[in-house]
Amino acid sequence: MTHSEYRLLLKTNRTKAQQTLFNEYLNYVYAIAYNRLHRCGSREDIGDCVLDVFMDVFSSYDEKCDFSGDVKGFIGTVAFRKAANYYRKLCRNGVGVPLDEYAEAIPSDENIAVSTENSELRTILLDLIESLGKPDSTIIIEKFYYGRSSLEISKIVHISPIMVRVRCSRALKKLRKLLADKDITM
Amino acid sequence: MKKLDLKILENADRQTVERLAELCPSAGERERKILWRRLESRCKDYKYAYSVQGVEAYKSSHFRELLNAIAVCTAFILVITGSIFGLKRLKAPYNTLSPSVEITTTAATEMASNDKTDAQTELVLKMLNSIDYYDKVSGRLVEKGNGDTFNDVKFEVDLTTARSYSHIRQCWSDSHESVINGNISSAELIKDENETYDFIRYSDGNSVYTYNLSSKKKEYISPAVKRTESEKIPDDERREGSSKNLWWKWRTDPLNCEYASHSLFPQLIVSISLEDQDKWQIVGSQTYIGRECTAVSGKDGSFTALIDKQTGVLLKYVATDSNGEICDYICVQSIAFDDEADDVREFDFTESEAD
Repeated sequence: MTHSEYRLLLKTNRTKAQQTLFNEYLNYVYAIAYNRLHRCGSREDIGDCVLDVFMDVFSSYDEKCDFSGDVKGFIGTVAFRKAANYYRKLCRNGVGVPLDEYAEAIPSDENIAVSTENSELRTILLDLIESLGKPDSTIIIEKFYYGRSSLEISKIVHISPIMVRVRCSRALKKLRKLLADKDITM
Repeated sequence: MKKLDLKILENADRQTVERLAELCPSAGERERKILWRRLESRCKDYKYAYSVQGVEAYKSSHFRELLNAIAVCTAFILVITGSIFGLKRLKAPYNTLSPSVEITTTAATEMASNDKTDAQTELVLKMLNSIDYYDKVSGRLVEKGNGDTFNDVKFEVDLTTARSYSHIRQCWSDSHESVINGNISSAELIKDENETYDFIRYSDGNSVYTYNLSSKKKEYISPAVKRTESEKIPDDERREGSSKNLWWKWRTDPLNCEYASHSLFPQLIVSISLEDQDKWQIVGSQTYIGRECTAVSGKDGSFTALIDKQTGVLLKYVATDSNGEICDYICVQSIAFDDEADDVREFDFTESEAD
């Protein structure tokens, strides 16, 4: 959604505008919040962070601005900052982050070579996961990234929990093979 | 050969997060609904709390402050004088007092409003504690699946032993209205890669299993949850969150019968539709499948529901979207509690292959 589309919707129907924005960017905001907070916070903390991001977006949006690009950049920036604030708050409260994990979670600027290699590996991995096609790509990410159970995934991809398990195991085998072709083991 | 772990996706850069968001949805339909409702509620509170934001602070002059002080003092003297005069007049006959009708009417309206809220709270608490009002239950329900599908669920639950049996058939529906009205005999089962969505969910009191009737495969799901693990939360501690954004705390579900739990222990429906008491109302009583029910509806017409008066079990729930199309439903077609309920049957897995 672009800024101008959002502004137009805001003028005609504020609630509808906000709901449209929420529906379109929930995945994005959730992914940012989850990425930052899943080590130190609960699902509820992540949910609260997501809601706070949208609250900030709704309340601080300048309706008189004349930007015309995608709203994604603005939402992403708010989400990254809010997730960082939540992360600091949760770590300060001492909610279950062992020191070694805490150290791992702080992005390091010392191993630039390793970071670059990891970044490349991530891109390859995501390309290969995407090549599995839907729903397998979704199942793999929901299972191994979001840590959801087969039952939860079944409600997202609209197939039974049994089929989720079957497809997940097949997709994982296929992914291993694709990675091996690129000289990478998993 | 390079080594890779899927954990490499954790704490990733912006580009990776964007791709992850594009690749898969972060939440199911119901989770999205809950998040949106919570957000709506927060937005409403925010509107009231910050309605005068952006206005410059008003600074009065010293002269005005002095004038204000004199005005306050004068008002104070007038009030005292008036009170003394008024007290003397009280010795006069009672007929000089203003009519009491108006006061009574206002008080009655306030009381009626409080009664309404109390009745709503009582109803919600009953739903949130429905598992305390019966030991055994059996019956049949239909609930909306994804898109044009629905689940036909026959269930038998014994809370005292943590045993349960449910037979779930996931079917295509021609029309959701006809499914709600109970026309499901001709519904076609969904098939996928030679497997039908026709399965048994069974708890033997210790573990919960699924048995697919087409592939004849048994699969372990989870340990069974005992009733004692679902600790009762005192009513006054049931609300959670800040004063501006409250929601109901959930108890652990001890039914071990997932596909019937939205009806038998309707915590989710409370979260989706009954969280904000200003948005729904009790509209009366109704008899449904032989049970006395409380009928409720959303003030915006977004849903109607029937809740069993005796147990708090949700017997019927139909939600519509902004176009008036049915977007969610749970309809119990038959139900029996305790002595009238069927015993949980023993299910024989001997023909199945364990994973």
